[in-house]
Amino acid sequence: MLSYYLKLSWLSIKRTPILTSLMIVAIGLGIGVSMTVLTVNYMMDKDPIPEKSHQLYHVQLYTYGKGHSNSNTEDQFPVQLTYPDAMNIHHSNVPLRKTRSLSTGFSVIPESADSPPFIESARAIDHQFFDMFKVPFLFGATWDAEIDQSPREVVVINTELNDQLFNGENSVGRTLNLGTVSYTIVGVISSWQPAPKFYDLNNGNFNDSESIFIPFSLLPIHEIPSWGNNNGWKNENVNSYQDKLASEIMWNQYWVELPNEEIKFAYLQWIEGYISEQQKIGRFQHEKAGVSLKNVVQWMKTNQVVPSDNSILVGLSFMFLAVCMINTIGLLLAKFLQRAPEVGVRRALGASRSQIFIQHLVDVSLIGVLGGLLGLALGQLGLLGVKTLYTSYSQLVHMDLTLIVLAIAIALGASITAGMYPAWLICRTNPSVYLKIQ
Amino acid sequence: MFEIKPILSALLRHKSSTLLIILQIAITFAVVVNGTSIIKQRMDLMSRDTGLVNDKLITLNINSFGKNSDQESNIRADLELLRSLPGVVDAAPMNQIPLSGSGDSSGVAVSQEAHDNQEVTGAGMYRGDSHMLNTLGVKLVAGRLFSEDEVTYTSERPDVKALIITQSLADNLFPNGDALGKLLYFGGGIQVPIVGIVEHMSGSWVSWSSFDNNVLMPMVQLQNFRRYLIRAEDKQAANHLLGEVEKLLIERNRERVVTGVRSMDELIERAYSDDSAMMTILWIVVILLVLITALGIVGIVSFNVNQRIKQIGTRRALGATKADILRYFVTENLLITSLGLFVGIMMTVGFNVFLADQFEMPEFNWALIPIGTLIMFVIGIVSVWLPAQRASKVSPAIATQSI
Amino acid sequence: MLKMTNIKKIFRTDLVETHALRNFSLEVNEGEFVAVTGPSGSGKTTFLNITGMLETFNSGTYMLDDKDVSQLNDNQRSKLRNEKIGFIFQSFNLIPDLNLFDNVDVPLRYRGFSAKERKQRIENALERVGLSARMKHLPSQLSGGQQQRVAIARALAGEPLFLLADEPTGNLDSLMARQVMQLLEEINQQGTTIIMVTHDAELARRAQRNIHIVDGQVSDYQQLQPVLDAQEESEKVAEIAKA
Repeated sequence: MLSYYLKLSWLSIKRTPILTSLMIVAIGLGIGVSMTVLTVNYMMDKDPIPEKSHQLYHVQLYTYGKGHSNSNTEDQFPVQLTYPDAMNIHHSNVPLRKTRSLSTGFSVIPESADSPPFIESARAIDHQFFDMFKVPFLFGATWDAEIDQSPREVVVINTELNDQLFNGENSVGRTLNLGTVSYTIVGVISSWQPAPKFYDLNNGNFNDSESIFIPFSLLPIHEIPSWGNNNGWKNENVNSYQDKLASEIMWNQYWVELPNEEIKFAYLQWIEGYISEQQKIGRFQHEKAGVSLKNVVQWMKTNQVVPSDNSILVGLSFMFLAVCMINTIGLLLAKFLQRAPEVGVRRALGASRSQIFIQHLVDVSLIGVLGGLLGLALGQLGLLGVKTLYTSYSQLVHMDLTLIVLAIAIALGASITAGMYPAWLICRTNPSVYLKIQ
Repeated sequence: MFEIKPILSALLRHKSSTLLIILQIAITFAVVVNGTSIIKQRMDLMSRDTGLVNDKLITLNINSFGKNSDQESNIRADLELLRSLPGVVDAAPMNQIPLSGSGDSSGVAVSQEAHDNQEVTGAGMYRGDSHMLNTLGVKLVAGRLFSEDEVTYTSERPDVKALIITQSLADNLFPNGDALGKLLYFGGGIQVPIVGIVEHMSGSWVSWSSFDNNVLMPMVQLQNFRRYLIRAEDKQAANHLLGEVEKLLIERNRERVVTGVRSMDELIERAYSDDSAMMTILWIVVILLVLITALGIVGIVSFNVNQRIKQIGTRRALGATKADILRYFVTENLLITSLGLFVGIMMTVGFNVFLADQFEMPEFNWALIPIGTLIMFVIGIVSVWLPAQRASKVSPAIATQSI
Repeated sequence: MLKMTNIKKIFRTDLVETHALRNFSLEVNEGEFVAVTGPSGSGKTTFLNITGMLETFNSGTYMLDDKDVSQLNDNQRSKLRNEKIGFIFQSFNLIPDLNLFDNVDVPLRYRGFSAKERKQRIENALERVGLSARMKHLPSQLSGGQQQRVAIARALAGEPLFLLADEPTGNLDSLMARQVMQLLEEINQQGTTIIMVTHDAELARRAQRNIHIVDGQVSDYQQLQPVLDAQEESEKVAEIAKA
């Protein structure tokens, strides 16, 4: 029977091409607009590392002195750590994996004199960073664990930089000049571009990943500058890099991997022990002194990865869809009422109300699917527009299978909902009215 | 001559399609008015005066990596070069550039005690040499500029002897208007006198609440990373410099990389890119929505006309003129639009209360309601015109035909 | 086969109450050709709609093929209509976008026959009305008489208990009307019961039995011919179906 209804729907579309196109355009625009907005939202909010997002924790310590506070975050915890704290908590062996982290950058000086130097962003980290965040290697591997204690000038670069400098060859063992310092390449990672850039949400939620990774242990030796935020609350005489290392300025980040609740609990206890130790030497004097562990999902929420503009747009786009659907209901009423005489004949020939109802719902569904397809095409166009409008999101605006299915499902669901009332109305009409004179 | 009563009873007989148009007009109105309200807010935000000579300014970053034993002479040589270029009015080394989205800020207070009690006002900290104000093009309204010998070149914590602040910060800290000559406290016992006040100068972060609160200091930091701001004679000269300046600076000293060569106009564009993107999207949504609603009205009125052809013919046969028929449909539409707008205004107010509650939106622009109402009436009349015109052309002869 | 007892049908609006049928009783037996006449507004159409189960009634009983119609829901009534009644209308009521084959197919689709059986039945029905050569034509390509013959084929295809014809020749010129009438008579002789509503007295005279409705009641109840033996009749129908 379904194939019969589909055939009838096709005939009815052919008979009312303008009315039908109006409906398809209305549904298509509604779906197109809401899918564009939903895609951006969905992609921004998407878990960038679903296998581990609940095991990776960003560490925050409440290091403010008495009377100081921070109104930038909801729980008032500072976003970053001081260098001494990052160094000290790194001694804990409770976490499965751990890494200190600092956003930095260098002038890269190519070997050949013809190529001019250029600037690349970089990250100072510990050797477990790549394992923790599941960064795939193309050549080589991360540096040895001991380098995190006794620093040496080693570096991991990404494949894009490797292509630029070494034509994509295996560059492990070769030299990379960063400013005036020469580093030995130990590994090359494949393309790695988590979106959002969850491991550092301070410096642009959707910025590119760094192309250079060096040991964090080199900080005091080469006075690696911070390219990220530096927040201070205490009046200190910070006249040199060494002063900064010893200061209460917060400029380092710290991530740990805690595979289960027990380990998390043990780690919290360890940190609390550390804090009370520090309190003895006059730090952590605020009554709120403590630790906050936030996993990737919580960390994204804290940092409001999805801007509030998007929520407004989601609301507006659903109202837009609602208008499109109301429009469609009106047009469907017109279309179905035009067909009332035929329905009368069908009723006389033995079609039941439910059969007429289903026939019209099939009719609407076909229009819905066509509208959904148009909506998908318009949505792609919309995303293209979003890409040009928001250059920083360009890598994350694309529809995956889930979204495509969702688009068709919304189109189908919305048009069936829209079709309910007209279909109900038409199947309730008294057929005899239309039979006498056509 | 409006025959409202028969129209009303006809509308009551077509309850569902009337209700649908009313609902559609209501939601469209709510979205259009709230959307336009957001657009207007963003427009106001973007058209804020920066206090700078926007179109004449270009900026760049220097990242030096060589043995920077003598950064001070390097900076002086760079600036000498830049100031000597044809078309350049002035140039200054700066730690941060307005509207660039990065820089330094600090809490300042009117006394040491106030600072200790956290009674501080956030302000942007702009450090540069004595050419900084002239290069920015900000207008001094009180006091004096920095003198050459007040400028310190240092990599350490400086000993700043004078400050110039923006009027906005002055008004914030000293509501009595006596800021000039007062001391500003930075904590840790640092206190500096205010020697001048500039009328207005935008800060670095467009969405920061202290956007207009800025402090200028006579000091050049000796670091591997620094910024230069160049003021050209006019826009043309600035555009010319954009292409030239990197090459000239690298030629003078090769042990560095020049990045981020941009005009101030580009910085402003980048700073507001999210806002302008939001505006574009809202425009598209508003225009499409109006279009859809108009098409919907055309569709439904056309259907109504088709349904009532015989009735229209009868009316014509009974002496109704074409204008009467036209007026009938237009009046009907005006009635529906009014009902829709009534519901729409209710929704708009409710929607806005919700939005303002959720997203800390600035105050709603109530003037948009009458404007939106007018627009919706125009749209209603335009979209009813075509099918109504067709209705008015129905021949009276139809009345006697049996179809 | 069909028995109506004291059927009452009232149309109500806010202001008036119209008694379309009052204490209407009628019995039709298998194989009969009954003509229902009456002035306009007499309740003919209401009678037709109630007989075809397109409308419900306020009181009385209507037994169709031993089933009490007032006890059935819409689905059951539709099924009964589909299986037992073939409709023929004054304005033919063919569906304009469907070709002849698909038009005849409509009641069979709702009957749920297999594709093969439907094809067989459609071809037989169209053959019976002499239009099997034009199966792929659209109704608009046919004359009025031909269209009405298609409508008759559509009514016959499901082998109903009876045909319900509403002014079947009303929209036709006299030559075509005569042909359609002949076809109906032929069908009746082959065993299908026919109930025909008409205002044409001459046409009505050709039926075995005439029922005159005035003001919603049967005013004149006369039998023109003895009813054929029902048993014999049903055998004939079976033979035709096989052919």
